Amino acid sequence: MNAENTTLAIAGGLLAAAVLRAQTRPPTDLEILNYALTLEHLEAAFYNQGLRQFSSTDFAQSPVFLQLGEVAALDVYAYLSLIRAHENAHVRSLTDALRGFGAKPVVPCIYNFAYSGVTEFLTVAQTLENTGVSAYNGVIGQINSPSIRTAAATIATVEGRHASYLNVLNNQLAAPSAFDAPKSMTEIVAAIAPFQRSCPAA
Amino acid sequence: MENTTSRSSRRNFFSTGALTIGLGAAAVTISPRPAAAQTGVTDLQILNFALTLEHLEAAFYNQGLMRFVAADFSAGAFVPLVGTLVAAKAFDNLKAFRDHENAHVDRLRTVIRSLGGTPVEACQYNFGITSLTNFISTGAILEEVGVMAYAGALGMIQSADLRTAGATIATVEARHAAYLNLLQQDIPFPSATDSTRTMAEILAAAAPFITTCTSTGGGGGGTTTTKAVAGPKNATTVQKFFSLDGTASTSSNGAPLTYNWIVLSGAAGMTQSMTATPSVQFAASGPYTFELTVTDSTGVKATDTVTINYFGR
Repeated sequence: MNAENTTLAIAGGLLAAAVLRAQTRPPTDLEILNYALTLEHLEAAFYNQGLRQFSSTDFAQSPVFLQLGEVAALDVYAYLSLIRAHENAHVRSLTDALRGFGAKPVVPCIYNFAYSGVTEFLTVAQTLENTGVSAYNGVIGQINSPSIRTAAATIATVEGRHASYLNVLNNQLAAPSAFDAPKSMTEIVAAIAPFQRSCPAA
Repeated sequence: MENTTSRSSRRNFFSTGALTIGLGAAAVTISPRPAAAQTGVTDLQILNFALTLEHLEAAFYNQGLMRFVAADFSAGAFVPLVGTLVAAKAFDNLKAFRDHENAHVDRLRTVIRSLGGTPVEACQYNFGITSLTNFISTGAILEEVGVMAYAGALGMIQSADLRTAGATIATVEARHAAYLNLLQQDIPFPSATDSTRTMAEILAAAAPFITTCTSTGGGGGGTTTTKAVAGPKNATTVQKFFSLDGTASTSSNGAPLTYNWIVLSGAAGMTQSMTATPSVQFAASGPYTFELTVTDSTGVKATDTVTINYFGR
């Protein structure tokens, strides 16, 4: 990790703090919920921005859609809007859950997704969704509360569905492996750091 | 959006035997059905439960894909709908799914053996596949059942490593489900959070696809029957609270049983009546009789009764 990325990760506020603490002991359930919320903020902001920026016509005129059948192509904007709704719902439910437990939910960062055009937007979307899957798979085992674990699992599988769809739109196999590899919090923090321009201090 | 909405309302649910799976928009909240509803389930039982489903899924793809060649997918009725991009990769995707389910079977068998357990064997199945269209729709049902099974079981697994392993399979089943939904013009991700189901509900959903199951035999080669054993027999207690024990019950195929206890006689209260080890609370002194009904993964039921003598102080 270079100096700039290190700075970004530390600027990641609660998330980075949780990861630093997690290096010496397992993360608490509340830290994991805030870690998940950090990712959901990122995903929600990505779709909120992108779908404001592009219209359904922009998607329909993209090269990838010329190869989709009529119905599948018409569905793309609606399905991306549905994914946006899911990510925003995840943000709300994680925020509510943290407040319900008396914990302080992390707030969104300022992001920089660095795409130009619909094709690049879909590539970044694919990266984010597959990152989300490996992030959830990396922490589910560590969650102590069975009910929080179940909640995380029911979100993780939805991220898996999103990833599957975006793989298809990017002309790749929906499920590239028999097992979706888990990634550690440290790996995920490094993976998402380039998308975070500045984050509020912890 | 109009297209999506109209198709959604047209196919907003489907039914798998005893289980009707709602695909409507579920409320999103971090307060799911408590996993503790099935206490007393061991990790090995959950692993064999998962293996039961993976056998089913592997057999589905192993049998089903033998009926088709790549050309069927470029000629399929769905091609004009999904387009050449998706159609060209459909056979590759389904072959990958088949390989995944077989890899899940292998991994689960290995893990169960490493923990000293006996992996359940595959059953005989009938998926009623007559066309590519119903192969895809049946596949979508099986994968949705798989997602709900894993999402439901993850809360109950004790070992952190096994939870992680379960999660890495669960998200793959979810990818499969989304893809098969897409192929048949259903919404790939119908809700912000996936639903969970209990082990009993999942086994009931799988039962219509199972024709016969032979015993795992445990190496002995004999046939194990599904049998209820309600215990402890001949017990007398002075304690107001008492634990019943159905764990000596056996299933014909080694897959987990579902339990249902009722009070046959005596004014006893009961909690956790759908588990192997419910708790009862006695009122006045005297004999109390309880009946246990177990159901195996093929739907076969067996019952047994037990009488406990309570001498209150």
